[in-house]
Amino acid sequence: MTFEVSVNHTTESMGLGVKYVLLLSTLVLMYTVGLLIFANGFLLKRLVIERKSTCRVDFAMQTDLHGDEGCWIHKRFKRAIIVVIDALRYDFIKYDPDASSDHPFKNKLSAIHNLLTGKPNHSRMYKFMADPPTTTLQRLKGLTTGSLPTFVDAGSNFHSSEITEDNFIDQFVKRGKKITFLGDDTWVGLFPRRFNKAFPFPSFNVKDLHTVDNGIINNLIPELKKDDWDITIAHFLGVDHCGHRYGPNHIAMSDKLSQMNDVIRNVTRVMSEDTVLFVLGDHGMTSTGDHGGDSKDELEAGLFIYSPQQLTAKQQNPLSEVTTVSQTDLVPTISLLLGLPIPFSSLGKIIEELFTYCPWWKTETDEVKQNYHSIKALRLNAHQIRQFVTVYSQSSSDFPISKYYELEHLLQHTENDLQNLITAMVKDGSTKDVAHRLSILRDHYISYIKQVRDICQNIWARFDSVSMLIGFLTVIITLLINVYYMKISRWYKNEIPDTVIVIVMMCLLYLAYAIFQSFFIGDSLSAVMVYISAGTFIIAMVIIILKFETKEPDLKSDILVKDKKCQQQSSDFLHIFLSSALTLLYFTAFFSNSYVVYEDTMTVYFILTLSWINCIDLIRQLMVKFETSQTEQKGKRYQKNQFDIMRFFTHPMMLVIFTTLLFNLCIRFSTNFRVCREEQTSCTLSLFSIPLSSFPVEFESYKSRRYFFSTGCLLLFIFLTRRIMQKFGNLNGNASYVICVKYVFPTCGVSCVLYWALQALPQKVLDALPVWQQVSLARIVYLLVGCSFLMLIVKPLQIYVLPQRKNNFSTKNSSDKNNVIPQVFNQVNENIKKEKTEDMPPIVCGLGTSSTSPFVYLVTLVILLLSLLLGDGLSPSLFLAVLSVFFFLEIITAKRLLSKHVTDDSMANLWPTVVFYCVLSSLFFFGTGHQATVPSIRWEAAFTGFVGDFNNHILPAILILLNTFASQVIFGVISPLVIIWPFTEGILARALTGKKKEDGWKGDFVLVENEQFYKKLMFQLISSIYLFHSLKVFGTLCAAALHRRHLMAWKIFAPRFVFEAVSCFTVYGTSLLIFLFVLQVNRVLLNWVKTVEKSSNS
Amino acid sequence: MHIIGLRFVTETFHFSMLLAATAILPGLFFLGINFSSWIRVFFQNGAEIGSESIVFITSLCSIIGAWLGAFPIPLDWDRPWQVWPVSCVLGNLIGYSAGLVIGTIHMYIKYNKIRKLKIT
Repeated sequence: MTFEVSVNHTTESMGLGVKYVLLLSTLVLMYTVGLLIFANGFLLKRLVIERKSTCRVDFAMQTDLHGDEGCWIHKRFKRAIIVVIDALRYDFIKYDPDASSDHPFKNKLSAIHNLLTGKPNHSRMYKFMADPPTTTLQRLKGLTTGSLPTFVDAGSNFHSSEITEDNFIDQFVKRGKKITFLGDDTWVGLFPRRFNKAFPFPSFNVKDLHTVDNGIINNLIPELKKDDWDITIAHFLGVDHCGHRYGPNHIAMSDKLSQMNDVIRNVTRVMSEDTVLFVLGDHGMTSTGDHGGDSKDELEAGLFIYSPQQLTAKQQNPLSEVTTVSQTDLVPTISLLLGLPIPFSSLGKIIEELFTYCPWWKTETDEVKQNYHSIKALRLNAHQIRQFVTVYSQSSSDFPISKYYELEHLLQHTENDLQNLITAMVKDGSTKDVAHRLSILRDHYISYIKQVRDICQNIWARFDSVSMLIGFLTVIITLLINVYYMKISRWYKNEIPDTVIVIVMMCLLYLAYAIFQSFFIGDSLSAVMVYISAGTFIIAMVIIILKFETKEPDLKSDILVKDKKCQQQSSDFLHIFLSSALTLLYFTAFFSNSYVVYEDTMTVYFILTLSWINCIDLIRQLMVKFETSQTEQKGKRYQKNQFDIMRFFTHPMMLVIFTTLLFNLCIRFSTNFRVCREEQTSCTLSLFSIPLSSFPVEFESYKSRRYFFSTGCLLLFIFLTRRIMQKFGNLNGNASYVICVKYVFPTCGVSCVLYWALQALPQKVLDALPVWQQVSLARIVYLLVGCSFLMLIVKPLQIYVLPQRKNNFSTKNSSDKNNVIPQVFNQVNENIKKEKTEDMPPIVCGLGTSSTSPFVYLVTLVILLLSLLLGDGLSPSLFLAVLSVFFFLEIITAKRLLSKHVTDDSMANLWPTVVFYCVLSSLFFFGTGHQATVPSIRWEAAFTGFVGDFNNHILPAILILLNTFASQVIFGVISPLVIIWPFTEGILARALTGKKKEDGWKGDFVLVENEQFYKKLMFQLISSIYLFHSLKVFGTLCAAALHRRHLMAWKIFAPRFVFEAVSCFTVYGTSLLIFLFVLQVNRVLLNWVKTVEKSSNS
Repeated sequence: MHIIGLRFVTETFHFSMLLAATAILPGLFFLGINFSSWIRVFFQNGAEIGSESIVFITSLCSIIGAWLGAFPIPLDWDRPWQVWPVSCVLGNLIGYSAGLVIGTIHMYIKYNKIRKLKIT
C-alpha cells in the first residue's frame, strides 16, 4: 500500500513531550510513595529483642541439676537428630488402617507406625500446627526461635537473612556443641557460621526432586556413625518439591514418601541410647501441592519423636485423639530435653508429656512424681516467658500494662502455691490431694503461657495507623492530581497551564514531609501537621479542578454549535456515566470478600456488559447516519418486498453485533485458562494450567492435542502480525526490522515451541540432559528478543522509501531487435530531460502506518517473550488477549469513522474507552492463569532458560513478575494503539460502518501532522489508565484498611492489596516506558520528514 | 464438554428462553418483522406513546433486571436462590413487572401532557 507524501509543516515543540513525561513521573512517584507508606503501616512488623537467654538465672533451682549436667534443668539426652521433611502433612505421617490404595500418600511411612506400636514408651506422634504464613523460611524462623511470624517476613522469602533473635541453634553453639547440617541451603543463610559441618544443597529449584534428598541420604548415615556431632539437622525438600510439581495425589509422592520411610528406618537403626530423634514437617500442603496460606491442610504438619531410651512415663493411648501441639512448642521442648536454656523470645509451651519420665528419680510408678517433674519444666518455661514479657513491655508500649500486672499476679500466686505444696510435702509427707493440687498448679502455668501467647499474637497483629492514614491521604491527593491532569489534557490549548508547576512543587514538599514522618519519625510524634497539610492540599485540589475550564471561552457562547452537538453529547454523557458507574462498582466490589474471591468471574461480567454498551452505542451512531439515507430507499424496499438474507447479514448493524459476539467468544474462551482459588468451591482445575510433564493419566489423549494447539496459536499469531505489517506496506526493502519480522520472529517462535516440547519430557529424562541442552532454546529466544528490541529502539522508523527510477532501461519495442542501442540512447536522453523538468515526489511505503507498525512489532516481541514464560498451556491465552483487543480496537475505529472530525472533541474523551481497556487487562490477569493469592504464583517461571542456581534474586524476580503480570505488561504495550489504530482504518472497521476508503487517506500520519494534539491525547490516555488502575488499588487499600481485623484479612484482603499494588507498579512502569517510546518514534518520524523537506526544497 | 468447561447448559437455555420471552416477544407482537421500526423504537428513542413505549420499557427493564439478578450469585450466603440462573430469572421477572408498572405510569403522564397540550 503506497501513497504520495504531502509534507506538511509541523510546528516544533520539543518541550511538550518532556513536560508530559515529567508530569507523569511525578504522578508515579506520588502513587508509589503513597502505597509504600500505607504498606509500611499495614503489613505487620514485630519488635525483635536481641537479648539471649543465659544459663544462670535466678528462677532455676540448682537442686534440679541431678543426674547429668544441664542448664536450667538436667538434660535427658546428649544428642539429637532433627529430620525436617518439608511439607510433611499430618495425614502423610498418620497411619490409617482403612485407607484405600488410591491415595499415593497414605500409609507410606510404615517405620513410624511400627515404632509407635512396637515401642509405645519410646515414641510419640503429634499433630504439629504451623502458624501462617506457611512458607518455609517463616516456619524455620518459628521452629528455631519459637516466636510468632508476621506478614512482613513473608515478603523476604528469597532474601534469607541471618536470624538475630535468640534461637536454639545459637544456644547449642554457645554451649560448645557441634552441629552437623545437611539439606536445604536456607538454613545456611539463616545461620551462617554456626554449623560445624554443613552439606547445603540449593533449595530454589522446585523442579528438582532428588538432588537435595539424594545428597542428604548419601551423607546422613556416614555422618551419624561418626562421633563429631551433638546435633544433626537434615532438611529434606523432595516431598515439598514433589507437591509443587505433581501435587500430593501423584505416584511420585508415593515413591518420595517411601524413600523418606527408608531414611527414618535407617536413622533409627544407627541411633545410640543417648540420642533423641525428631521427625517433623514444617508445614502441610493443599490438595494441589502448594502452601503459603492458612488452610487446614497447609497448617497441619506431623511431628514424630523417638528415642531408644524411654521417652515418657505413660503410653500413648492409641484410641485417643492425637495431641495437637504448636510448632513453637518444639523450641522449649528441645532446649530443656537437651539441658539448654530456652531461647529468650520463645513463646512456646513445652510438651509436658515428654517431661514426665526421669530415669534418676524413679518416676515409673508414682504419678505424683511424674506430674511434679513435668511441672518443674513448665515452671521454667513460664519464668522464661515472664522474663521476655518484662523486657518486651519495657522496650515497647504495645503490651497492655494492666494485663501485664494481672499475669504477674497469676504467676506469683502459682509460685506461692507451689512453695506451700513443697513445704507441705516435705513436712508432712502427705500425699492426700497432692495430685489435685498439682493439676491445679499445672493448669495455672499453662494458662499463664497461653495468655501471654495470645496477647503477643494480638499486639503483633497491630497496625501503624499513622502511616496507614498518611498513605491513604497521599493516594487521595494523587488521585485528585490525576483527575486534574486529565482535565489539563482536555484543555483547548496545546499547552500546560502554569498552575501545574505550583502543584508539582507542593506535591514534592508534601511528599518529603510525609516520607519523613512515616519512615523516620514513626508514631512517636503526632502527625497532625501532615494531616493538616494533606487536608488543605485536598481542598485546594478540589477547588482547582472545579475551577478549571477545559472549553474555549468563546465556544460556550456559540449556541449554534452547542445545539448541533447536543444529541452527540447526551449519548456520550450516558456512555461516560455508565463507564464511571461500572468503575465505581468495581471499586466497591473490593470491600466484599465474596466478590474478591470471584473477581475473575466478575471481570468477565463487567467486560460483557461494557462490550454490549459499546455495541449499542455504535449501533445508535450508525442509525443516526442511516436515518437520512433510509428515507429515500424506503419506497424502494417496500416495492421489492423481499427479504434478502445476504443483505441482512452484511448490514453494518449485524456486523457490529457479530463482532461483539466474536469478542464475547474470545472472553468466554479465556475463562478456560483460569486457575482456581482455594475458596472457589465449585471450580475445577483447568487442563491448561497443568504442565505437560505431569499431565493426569486420564487426560493423556489431550496431551499432544494441547501442545499442538498452543503451537498453532503461537505460529498463527506470528504469521498474522507479519501479514498485517505486509498489508500496511511496512515490510518492503531489506532493512533490519524487515529481516527481524521475516526471519527472526519465526525463529523465536520455533525455539519457543521446541523449548515447550523439551519441557514436556518426563522429569528424569530432562534432568539427565546436559545443562546447556536444557537452557539453550530459551536463551536463544531471550537473545533474539533482546536484539530485536534494541534494533527497534535505535531505528523505530519502519518505512521504505522507494528508490526513484532515474534510469529506465526497459526496451519497449523488443521486436525491433536491430535497433537496440539507439533506443537505449534515446531513453537515457529522455530520462535526463525528465529529471531536469519535473521533480518527482518521493514514493514511500508504509508511511500511513508509520506510527502503528512499531507497536505491532513490539507487541509481537513481547508476546513471544511472555509465551515462553507462561509455558505451553497458557500461551494461547495471550493470543486470545490480542485477538479481543483487536476486535475492541476495530469497534473504536468504527466509532471514530462515524464522527466526522479527526481532531474533534468526540475523540478527545477517552475515559469510556480506557475503562473498557483496563477492565479487559484486569480480566486477562485471571485469563492468563493467575489469582491474587500467594500459592498461585507460578514460581517455575524463574526456571525458563535457567537451571536454578541464581547468584542474585533480581533475575528470577523479574521473570516471575513478568509471568504474573503478563496481562498488565501486554496491555501496557498495546495501549498507544488505542489512539493510533483508529487512524489506520482497517477493513473490518470499514465494513462495520459501511464506508469506503477515501482518497485523501493519510493514516496515522495525521497524528504526526498534528503532533501536539497527538502528544496531548497520549498524555490523556496514560493518565486515564493511571487513574483507573489507581482507583482499583485505592479500592483494595481501603478494603484492606477497613477489614484489617476481618477473619479473612490475611487470606483475601491483604494479598489482594499487595497484588494490586505490584500490578499497579507494573502498569506505571510499562506505561511510562511506552510513553517515552511513543515520543521516540514521533521524534524520529519528524526528523525524517524534515530531511525529506530539505531534500525536496533544495 | 469438560475441556471447554461447559456447564449449566440446560439451565442457561431455559433462562435465555425466558429472557427472550420477556424482552423480544412483546416486540415481535407489536412491531412485527419490520426492521426499521425496531431500529426506531430501540435505537433512536422514537417509540410512540402506547404499545411501542410499553414494549421498549418492559424489554429494557427485564434485561436490566436480569443483569442485576446476577449480583448476589457470588455472595457466600448459601441460599438456594443464589444458584445460577435462579436469581437472574427472578431479577428478570421482577424487572419485567416493574417495567409494566413504569410503562403504565409513563404512559399516563405523557397522555396527560398531550391532553393538556391539545386543550390549550
